[in-house]
Amino acid sequence: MKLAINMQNLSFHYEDAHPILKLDVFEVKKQEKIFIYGPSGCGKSTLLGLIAGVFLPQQGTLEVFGLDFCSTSRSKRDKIRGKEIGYIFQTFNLIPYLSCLENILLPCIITRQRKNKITGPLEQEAALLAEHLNLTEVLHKKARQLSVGQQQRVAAARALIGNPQLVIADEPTSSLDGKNTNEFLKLLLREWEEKQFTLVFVSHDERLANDFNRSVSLPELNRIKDLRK
Amino acid sequence: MITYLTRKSIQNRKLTSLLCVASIALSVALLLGVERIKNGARDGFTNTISQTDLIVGAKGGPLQLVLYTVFRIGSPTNNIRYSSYTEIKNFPEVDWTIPISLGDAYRGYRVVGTDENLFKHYRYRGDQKIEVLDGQVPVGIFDVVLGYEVAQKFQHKTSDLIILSHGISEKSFMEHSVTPFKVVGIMKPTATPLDRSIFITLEGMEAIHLGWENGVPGKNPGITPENLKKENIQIGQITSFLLKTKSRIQTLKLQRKIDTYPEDPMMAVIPGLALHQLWRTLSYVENILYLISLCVLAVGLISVVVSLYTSLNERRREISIFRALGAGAGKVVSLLLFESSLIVLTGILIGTTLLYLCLFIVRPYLESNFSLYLPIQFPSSTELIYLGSILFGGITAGFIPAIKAYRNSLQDGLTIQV
Repeated sequence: MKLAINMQNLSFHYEDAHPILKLDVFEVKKQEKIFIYGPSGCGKSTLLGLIAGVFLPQQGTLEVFGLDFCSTSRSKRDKIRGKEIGYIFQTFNLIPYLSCLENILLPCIITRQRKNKITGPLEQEAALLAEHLNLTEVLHKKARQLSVGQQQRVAAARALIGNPQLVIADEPTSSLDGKNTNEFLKLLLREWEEKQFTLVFVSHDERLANDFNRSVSLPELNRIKDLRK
Repeated sequence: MITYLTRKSIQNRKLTSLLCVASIALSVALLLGVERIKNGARDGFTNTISQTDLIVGAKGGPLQLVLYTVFRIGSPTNNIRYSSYTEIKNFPEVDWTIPISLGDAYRGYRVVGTDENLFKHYRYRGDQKIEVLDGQVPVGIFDVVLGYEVAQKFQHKTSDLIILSHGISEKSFMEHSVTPFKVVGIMKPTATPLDRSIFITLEGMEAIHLGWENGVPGKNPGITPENLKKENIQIGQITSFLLKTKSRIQTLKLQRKIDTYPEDPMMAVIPGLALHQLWRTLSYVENILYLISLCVLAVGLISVVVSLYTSLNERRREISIFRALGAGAGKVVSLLLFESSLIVLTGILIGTTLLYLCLFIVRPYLESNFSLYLPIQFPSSTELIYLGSILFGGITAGFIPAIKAYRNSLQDGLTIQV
């Protein structure tokens, strides 16, 4: 089986030269749903930034869908991210002055390749996703008017539009209460069942790991232990 | 993508964007307004007299000659002989002449003795001609035509009788009371010193001074309007005269000829040259105006930078989202640049519109109250350069927040900074 993410002997530091991340092997198979356990300050955002092609490692191999990111130009990586990666933040996922619908369609506005992946009318596609994620009633409301639970589901819909091959969720539930967490996770995994994308889900809440194929602890994976940032 | 997001972003920051646009618009309008007034004042000044090639008067300061002949400022030191005038008038290279005889006033307004040539040949602001609004040009000895402002101020109508005073001061105790003048016409407003003059014939000027050879009222006046005939009056002197050559090339040669005229110490001055010289001595005022408007403009541009810069923190979040959705750092920069450029451009357009609107409204007022004539015309090349520089300045200023955003986005990666 081919790999969605392939990292070998990789190390990364920011400009201040203080090493952040160093790992031997990290592989994610295509269509796998993987849970990464990561408390704050263990290099989690850095790892996700590498996968998304925003940062490049100083050493080692970084391949996403078989493409060697180290030998790929920045704009090409931006394009791949726009086309094939959906990204969900912990909070403040949405542009507050855009409506729910406009936020869902934002990836298609920013990246043409993403838009081209959708064959039908864009709005119909967005409405369908909104329906899946229980957002139909708030579709035309401004993002700032939505509850936090709704905002995270809009973020999920935005990550999913245009069927990207990889969805990265960076602590998407840590700002939600128990009920909203369960609903969010349930809906996201249902979409995964249906669309079979690769799902990288990061959380500091280990209880969520049960719903995934595999669970990885980033503090164990990262060989730099004394990370104090 | 960029236009869509910029539109939404500006809509979101409606008030701030509006204030930025307004501050740019006002400073643009001010800058252009000052430029227009500056040019209007200069043109008004230098175009007070046009198509006249030479002003001829008694030897003295050239600037003074222009000032008293054209602007009725200051007083002539000496006169020239009427015979010299007629001789020069008949030179083959001379097209026309307008004699000017000064020395008297009416309630502070200068009296100009002249002849029908003034009404026939005098031109100002290019090809504008003097016109009599009501009545006719002075023909009889005791006929007088009033400049528009004089007539307005004293509410004179045609056929009113007025008494001129001797000398040019406002309070004169010597009045030409035996020789009242009859108003025969009122001139159309010209927004030039002509409006503040009153016109009589050369013969009239001579007639009221009969018996005044010593500068005071004569011992036995005995002169009444009834016993004077125009043909009987000998004109002795005039103050100066305007002259147009048949061909402009002859101007310099003629000037030399007049300057070295043997019978009478005279000089000839090219009015345009003297006026420009005079204007330059006044130009510090326009430089100050210009400086002030530049400062206002700088404040306007700074306000755009400041507002974009302060919104940057709020936007840091937005930018991370755009980045996560596939926007490159370059796109983030162009987003901010586009927004600042759009604000500056809108400001420029609105400012220019505002200027024309204001011009349209205040033009008649400025013309009648300040003798300031501001033509409504397409922006001059200087003004277009100004506008271009403002746009350029605005775009350059937009780089400051844009570069900051670029740095942030590289540093933040996909982390949302709160």
